[in-house]
Amino acid sequence: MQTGTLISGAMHGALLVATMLGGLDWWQESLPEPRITKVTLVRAAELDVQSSAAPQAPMAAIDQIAQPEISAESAVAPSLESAVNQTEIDIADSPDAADASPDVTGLLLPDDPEVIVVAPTVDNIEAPAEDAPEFFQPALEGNELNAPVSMSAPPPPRNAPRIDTTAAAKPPEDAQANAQAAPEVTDEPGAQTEAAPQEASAPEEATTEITPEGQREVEISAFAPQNAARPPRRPRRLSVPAPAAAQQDISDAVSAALQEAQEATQSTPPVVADLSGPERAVIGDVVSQKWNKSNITGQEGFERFVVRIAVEVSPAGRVESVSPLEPANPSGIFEIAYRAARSAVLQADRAGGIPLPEGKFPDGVRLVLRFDPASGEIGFN
Amino acid sequence: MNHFKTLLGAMLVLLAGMAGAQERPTIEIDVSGGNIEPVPLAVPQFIAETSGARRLSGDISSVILSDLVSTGLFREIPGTAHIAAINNFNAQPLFSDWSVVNAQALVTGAVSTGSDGRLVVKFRLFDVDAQLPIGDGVQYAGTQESWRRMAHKVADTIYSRITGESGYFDSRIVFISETGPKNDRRKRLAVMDYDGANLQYLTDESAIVLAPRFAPNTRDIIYTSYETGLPQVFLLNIDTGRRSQLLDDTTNMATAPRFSPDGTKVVMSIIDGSNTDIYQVDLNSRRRTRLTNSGGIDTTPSFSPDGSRIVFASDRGGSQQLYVMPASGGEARRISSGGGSYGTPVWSPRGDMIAFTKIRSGRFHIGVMRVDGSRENLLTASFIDEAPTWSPNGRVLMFFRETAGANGAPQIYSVDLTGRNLRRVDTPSFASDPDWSGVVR
Repeated sequence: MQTGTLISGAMHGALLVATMLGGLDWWQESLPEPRITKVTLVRAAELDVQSSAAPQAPMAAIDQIAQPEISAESAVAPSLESAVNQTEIDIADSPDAADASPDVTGLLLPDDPEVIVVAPTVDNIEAPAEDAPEFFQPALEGNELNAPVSMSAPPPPRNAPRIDTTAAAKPPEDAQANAQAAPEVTDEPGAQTEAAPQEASAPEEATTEITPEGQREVEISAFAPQNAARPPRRPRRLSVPAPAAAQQDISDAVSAALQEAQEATQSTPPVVADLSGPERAVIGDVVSQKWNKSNITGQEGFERFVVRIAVEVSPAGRVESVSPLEPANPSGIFEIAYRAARSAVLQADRAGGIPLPEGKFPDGVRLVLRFDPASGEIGFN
Repeated sequence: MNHFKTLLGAMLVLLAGMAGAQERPTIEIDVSGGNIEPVPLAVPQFIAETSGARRLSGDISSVILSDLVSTGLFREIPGTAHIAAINNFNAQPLFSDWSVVNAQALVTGAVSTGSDGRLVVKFRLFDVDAQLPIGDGVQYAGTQESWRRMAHKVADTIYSRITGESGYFDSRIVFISETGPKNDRRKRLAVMDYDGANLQYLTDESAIVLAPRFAPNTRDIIYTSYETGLPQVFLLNIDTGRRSQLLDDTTNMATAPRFSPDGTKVVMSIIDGSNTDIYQVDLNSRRRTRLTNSGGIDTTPSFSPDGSRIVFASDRGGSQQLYVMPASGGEARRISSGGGSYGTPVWSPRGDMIAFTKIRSGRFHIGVMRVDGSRENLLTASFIDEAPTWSPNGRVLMFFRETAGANGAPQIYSVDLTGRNLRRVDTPSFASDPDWSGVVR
C-alpha cells in the first residue's frame, strides 16, 4: 500500500517538474504534420456544370507544339520504298515478327461476340402439359431454331368446367324432405369394402417348370404339320386337234410372237452383273500396284491428268484389249498418263490377270478404269 | 412338220439375235495410289553398222543410258540381264524376251560412219508392255567429235517421248571452280556439259570471280570479278574468249547480274554508297536504269520467262524476303511469307515457280514456291545449300552444298522438282554457284 502511494507520488512529482521546465512540446513534435486541404464549398448545380464540361486545354501549350514538317515528296507520287511498304504483307508482317511463328489465335478464336438470343434453344422449350391440347405447328422450312416462338399459333382456350352460376329454382312449397335416412358408411370391421385390384397371377402348377423361349419354339414347332398339303391339281386341258387352216395362223402367230420377243430382247438392256465393293477394291489394288505414275507427278498441275480407259476382260480374267475412253484421243501429257495406265493393266495381266469372281461373268466384262494421279508431295516443310 | 421347222427356225433366229445383242457388263473402278518408281529401261548396245563406228556405238549407248538414269525417272536393265540381242535395227524386237526381264521401255539403235567421216546415229523407242513403238525412228548426223552431243540429243528425244517434257541433256553448266584451303580459296570460272564432261576453264585464278550466268544464246556469260579491286560485272563469249566490262563506272560495285530472256538487257545490283538497288543495263547502249529505290539491300534479280516481271531479294522489311515487281520497276509485292529469310530467287523456265534459298533455324534449304508465294516446298536441308538454278525444262534444280568444318568445301548437287533424286554432280574440283544454260542449239 505504501509502495503504491510512493510510486504515484513520485510520478506526479516528476510530471509537475517537467511541466514547469519545458512543457509537453517534445510529445507533440513526434506526431506527423497534419495535411491541410483547401475545401471549397460549391453548389450541386455548379458541380454538375464542372463535371460535364469539356476540359479546357492550355492553349499556350498547344501553341508551343511544333507543326510536323510536310515534305514536298509526300505531295507527289510516293517513292518506290513507300509504295512497297504499303503492301499488305509488309503491313501485316513486321520485320520483328518475320521469323516468329504466326499467332493465329486471333483467327481461330474471335473476340467474345455479343450474344443475341434470337430464339430459345430446343432444350429450353418446355414440354407441353399432358392435357394441353394439340394444335397445328406451322412449318418453319428449315429455320426452326431461328424462328421466334411468337410465330407459333396461340393455343385455343381450354375447356373450362361448366358451372351454372345462376341460382337454382326454389323447391315447391309442398315439397317434403325424405323421412328415410340413408345409412352412414362406417369403417367398422365387417363392413363391406371394395377389394383393391391385384395383378393376375398364374396358377401354381404352371410355375413349377420354367421353359426357355427357344425350347418353347421347338415344342411349338413339334406341333406344326410335318407335310404341307398338296396343292390341288390343275384341270387337264383338253387336246383339240386344230384344223389345217388354223395351223397356219398359229404358225404365223408364233413367228410374230418370236419376232416381237426378239425385238424386245434387243431393246431391253442386258441384266448387269456387278461387283461388290471388296471385289472392286481387289481389282483396283491389283492394277494400282502396277501403276507407275512417276512420269506424271512431276508435271505442272499433274492433278489434272486423270484418264479413263476401257479394258475388255475375258471370263478367265485375261485382258483382251485396252483403249482410251477419256480423253478419247490422248495427246501430250494425257498420252503419257494413258500409257502409264495401259502399262499398269497389261502388267497386271502378265502377273496373273484381273481377279474376276469365278463364274460371275460368263461372257467377260468391260472394266472402265479411272486413274487419278493426285498424290502427296514430299519436302522438308 | 412344217410348223415344227418354222418354230425351230424362229428359235434359232432368236438365239442368234440374243447372242448378237449380248453385251458385256460395264463396271467402273477407280484406281488410286500407284507407285512412283523409275521406269525399267533397256538400252542394248547400239549396232555398229560400219567398222569405224564400233567404238562409238558403245560410248553412245552408255551416254544415253547415263543421261536417262540420272534423271531418276528410269532404271537400267543391265546388259547382263538381257536375254535377247538386237542385231538388226529394222527387225521387230522379240518383246517377250524384254518383257521377261521386266523392261518397260526398249531403245534400239545403230551407229555408222560415212565415207566423209560423218557420224550417223539412229534409234527407235518401244513400249514393251504394249509391244508398240513410241514414235518413229530418228536419225542424227554430225561430226565424230560431236558424238556426245548426238547421244545427248537421242536421250533428249527419248526423255521427251516418255515423260512428255522437253529434255535437258544437251545443255551446259557454268560454275565457280574452287581449289585450295578454305581460308585461301582460289576461284576460276569454268564451264562443262551438264553431266560434267567437256570441262573448260574460262578464267585464271588471278581474281576472285562470282555468280556466272548464261545468256539465252548459251554462248555468252556474264559474271562478277574483283580484278579491278571492286566487284564489277564482265561479259564473256565462250567461243571467242572476248571479254568486256559491262559498265565504265568503276566507283560503284556491281554484283549478281542476270540476263533478260531476250538477252538484250542485264539486271544487277549496284552498290551506290551505302545503298544497294537493282538496275537494268541495256547491252547495246550500256545505259543503266534504276529499278528500285529503297533503303534496304535489293539484290539477286531474276526475270520471269516472258520478261515482264522481276523477282528479287530485299531486306527492306527487316529480314531478307522475296519481292516481285514489274520489269520496268515500280511497286514491289512481297511473295515470301514463311518464317526465316529468303535469297537467290530464280524464276522457273516454265514460269510457274520460283526457286530460292531459305535460311531457317540455322539450316539452309533449297525450295520452290509458286510465283504468288503459295505452295512453298523445301526440297533440301543442309549446313549450306545455296544458289539454285533451273534445268532448261524446269524439272530439275542444281545448287551447291557446302559441308561444315575447317575442311568444308562446296560441291554441286541436283535434285528433282519433287524433292527426289538428289545427286552430286561430278566436278574435278570444288564447285559452287552453278548456272544451267538452255538447251544448246
